[in-house]
Amino acid sequence: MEAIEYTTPKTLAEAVQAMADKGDRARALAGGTDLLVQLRGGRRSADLIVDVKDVPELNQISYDAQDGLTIGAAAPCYQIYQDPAVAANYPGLVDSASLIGSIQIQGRASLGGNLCNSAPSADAIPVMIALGAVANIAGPNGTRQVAVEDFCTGPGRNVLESGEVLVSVTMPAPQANSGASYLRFIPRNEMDIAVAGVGSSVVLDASGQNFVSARISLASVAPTPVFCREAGASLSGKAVSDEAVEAAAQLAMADAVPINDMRGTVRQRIHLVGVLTRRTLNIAIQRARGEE
Amino acid sequence: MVAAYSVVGQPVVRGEGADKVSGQAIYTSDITLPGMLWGQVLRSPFPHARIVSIDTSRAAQLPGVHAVITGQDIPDRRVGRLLRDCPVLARDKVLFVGEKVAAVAATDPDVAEEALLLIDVEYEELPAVFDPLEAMTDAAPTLHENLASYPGLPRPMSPVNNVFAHNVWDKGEIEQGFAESDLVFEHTFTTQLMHQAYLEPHACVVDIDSDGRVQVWANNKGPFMLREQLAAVWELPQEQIRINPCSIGGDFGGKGSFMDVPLCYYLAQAAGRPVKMVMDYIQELMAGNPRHPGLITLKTGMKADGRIWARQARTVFNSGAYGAFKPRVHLRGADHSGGPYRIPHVHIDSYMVYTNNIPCGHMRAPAKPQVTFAVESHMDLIARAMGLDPYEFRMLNVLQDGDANPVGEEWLNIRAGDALRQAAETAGWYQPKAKPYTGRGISISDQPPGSGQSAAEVQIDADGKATLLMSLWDTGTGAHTVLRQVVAETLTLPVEDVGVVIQDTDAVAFESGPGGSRVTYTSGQSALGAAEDLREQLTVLAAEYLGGAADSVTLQAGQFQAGDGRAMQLKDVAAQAVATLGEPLSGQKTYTAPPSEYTSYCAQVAEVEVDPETGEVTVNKLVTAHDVGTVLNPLTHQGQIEGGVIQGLGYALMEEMETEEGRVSTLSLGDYKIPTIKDIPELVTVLLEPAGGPAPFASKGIGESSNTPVAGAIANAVYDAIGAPITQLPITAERVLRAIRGKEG
Repeated sequence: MEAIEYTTPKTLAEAVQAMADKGDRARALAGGTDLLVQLRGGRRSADLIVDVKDVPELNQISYDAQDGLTIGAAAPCYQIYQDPAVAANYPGLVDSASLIGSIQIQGRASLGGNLCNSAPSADAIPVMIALGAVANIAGPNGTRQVAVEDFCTGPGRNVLESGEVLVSVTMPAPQANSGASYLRFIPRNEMDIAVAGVGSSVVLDASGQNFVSARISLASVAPTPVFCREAGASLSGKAVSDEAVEAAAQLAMADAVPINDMRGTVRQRIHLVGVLTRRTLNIAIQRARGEE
Repeated sequence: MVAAYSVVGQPVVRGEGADKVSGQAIYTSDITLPGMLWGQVLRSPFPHARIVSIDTSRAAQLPGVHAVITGQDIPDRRVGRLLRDCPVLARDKVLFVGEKVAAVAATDPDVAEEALLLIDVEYEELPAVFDPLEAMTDAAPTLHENLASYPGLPRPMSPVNNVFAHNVWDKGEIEQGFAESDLVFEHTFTTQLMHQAYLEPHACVVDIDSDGRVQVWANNKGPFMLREQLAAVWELPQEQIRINPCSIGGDFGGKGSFMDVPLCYYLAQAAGRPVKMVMDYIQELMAGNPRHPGLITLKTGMKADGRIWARQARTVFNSGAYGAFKPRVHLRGADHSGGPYRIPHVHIDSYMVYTNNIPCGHMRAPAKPQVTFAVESHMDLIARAMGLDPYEFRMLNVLQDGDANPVGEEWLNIRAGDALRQAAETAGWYQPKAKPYTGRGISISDQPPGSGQSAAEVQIDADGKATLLMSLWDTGTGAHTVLRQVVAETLTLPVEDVGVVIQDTDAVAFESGPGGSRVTYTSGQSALGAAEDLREQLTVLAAEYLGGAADSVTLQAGQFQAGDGRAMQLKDVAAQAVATLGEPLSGQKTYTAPPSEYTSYCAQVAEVEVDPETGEVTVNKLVTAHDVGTVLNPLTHQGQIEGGVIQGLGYALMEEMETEEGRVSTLSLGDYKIPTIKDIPELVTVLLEPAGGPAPFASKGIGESSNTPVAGAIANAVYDAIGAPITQLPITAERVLRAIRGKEG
């Protein structure tokens, strides 16, 4: 392991400057639960680590009923799921944040880090996609926003350009009669990487009997998290029924293009997408109806 | 019958615990010597290849590198725990991915690592064989052409290709048994490659003194046997080698191996400096000495009334490239292929087979978890086919006191049926199940304590404090604390007044060390004997000081009492004796343990729930019932039970070193999955009323018994839950789903 420079900027401008100075050789550090392991294992290299834990914009968690929820890229999972506004309005996000790694990992790992690490198996990304989240990015040329479903471009790769920093993720305020959920399948009960994961969100009408809209996203079944546009859209305007849910699950399965590896086979993963899509949709429906 | 003990039976916390949690305990990798170098090895990327050439010149020129050696630089001798078939460094051929090809000693680990990248090896790949059945065919490449020349090879040699040990157990007349049977069942079971997953990887330090004395530090639990192995491969007299004690960070059967020690000596010799070698976990998972995968076929002849009449077993163990990591060459646990049942006609064949996989070694109750999973699953398959309840079927056939077991062993006070009954009753065997896809499974096995030799000395000082001196390394089981209790009980001292000093291999002639659930028995008896010897000496002295006859003096609660009522504190006797002698008073005992007359049964019931859509198995509860002796320390005793159960759960459900063409793909503890705290079910422990044992105070060993039956209990519970048998470990969700679908379609 080579010597690495380390800096702790106190402002966003300093962070961007530090990242821009080293370009591709700089990496932002939040919890380090991916980055440090990768550096030690020789799977990534860097000349400069920019520790963003002191940058205020990257550590905020703010919610209002108009603008929704903004979570700083470095805010650790435990702060997210212990936040009363998050717990009340985004139970689907709580599903994700509270199953990443273990209790200890959740004390450090951040949603932003999960997004920037851009693993196909990332547990926080599908539910962010299902919730219509947007990534707020700052760079030498100013700021820009990218929908989370467009953020990842390949295993470990994303749209961040040299010198750019993920500042936060914004999720719209929940609509009336909406709900979301995330489930994954792992061979043991914690500290594991998803064999398959599904995040779903639904908006129902006032009766709670019909879908207004839905969004479904998958983990661990493609080179990037998958946004199942058609599967979600297929539910719009339909009555809530097992058949509609099953049809959406079939469409989600069609979007899964997994590989065989030591964690699971293609067949098992596609099968799990079907099971987990049904289950997450049904939990989201219950939550939308206020039944949970 | 419960004898009144003061220290024995108390939940004494571990003496070494505080040092461990505060980082003060000294492990092998903590040893640092002046001028010490770091050794690293270059490993083969191919499962079977001829080494055409090795060029180390670039590596040797790297600043900081003090030695680079290959097989050509060291004597052409092989090493092994008994069968000496493993080269210290590969010479002409490599037989597995991860085999050591060259080694470097450098000033720090990074330089050593860098030097490895500068070694150029040209290989010519050879046809490889990974499946043991394929390896046993004549068409397969013969991996050890000079097998007959290896020291330690069992005779007669097997005529079967790549088989280096074939063991047979026979009772009755197997053909006659099948001829007399009304029904015959045959099933085959497969088990996986499993790592011991101790926290501390293998490490060693070797230093050659100026007078040629070889100092070794190694996390090896059998230092006296290690010394023999090293003396043989280095061709040095044993007295020239000293193994120094270290704490061992977990064993689970895996820490009896020489691993890098033989090589480390040649590096130290070449560099003229002490050398340390520490494997990382990637190397552990690639080239440690894991549990053998087993392929087990059981054929059973049944009487129509449910009695087992004949059992034929064929166990094939995939040993990988070498057999060097087994102290007996074969795996004796194959003798459990009959289970703890009355079977008049038995024939067991067990084969150890070479393949181009990672060489396997010992792990907690070697071969018994493999074989017991097969035996106990086979029992349920038979029971269900014959319309019998699995528990009642076992009770009908289980060994009764006075029976000989399937391989003819006769144990005292057999309580297999009691263990089964208590496990079943505690688990509520007959209670209706809460919902569909839940199931109960029962399983049983036994574990006698191993025998061996042990030497102990107990000294008492002028302040009345005792010290137990042994060459018995601590592997993390709490054995030292138990032995202190044995000494304290014997001398009627508080346990805090008994310390332990662990000595090197110069101190005594031999100590078998931990293994085969024997420490409490073998080392316990030597500690007890040494304490008794000291007590007798003190008693004689007390009598002299009190002016009475020795046989009139008794020791109670730290005080010697003469018949006439006069008394003297033990510490005052010690003080006076030490003052007279000018040195601590010492009791000694060398104990050679005969084979135990007792075994110990463990019956378990697992309760599982299966998700029929994903195949995921959740173990909700596990009952473990143990046929114990006196429990010397309920804390450490329960620790062994719980650790064994959890390791068994990992074996049953998730742990597997996956390989592709001999390459282990699960090369981290992220990918090689052991249970986490959230995977652990409710555990209910039942201890049968103590009823004798070979170890001090009528106790028994407990290190392995809870590990063995777990996979069978869980597999049978899954069978009960889904209505289809599982014949392969681990019981992954995908396999369960396949079984459910197979049953439906």
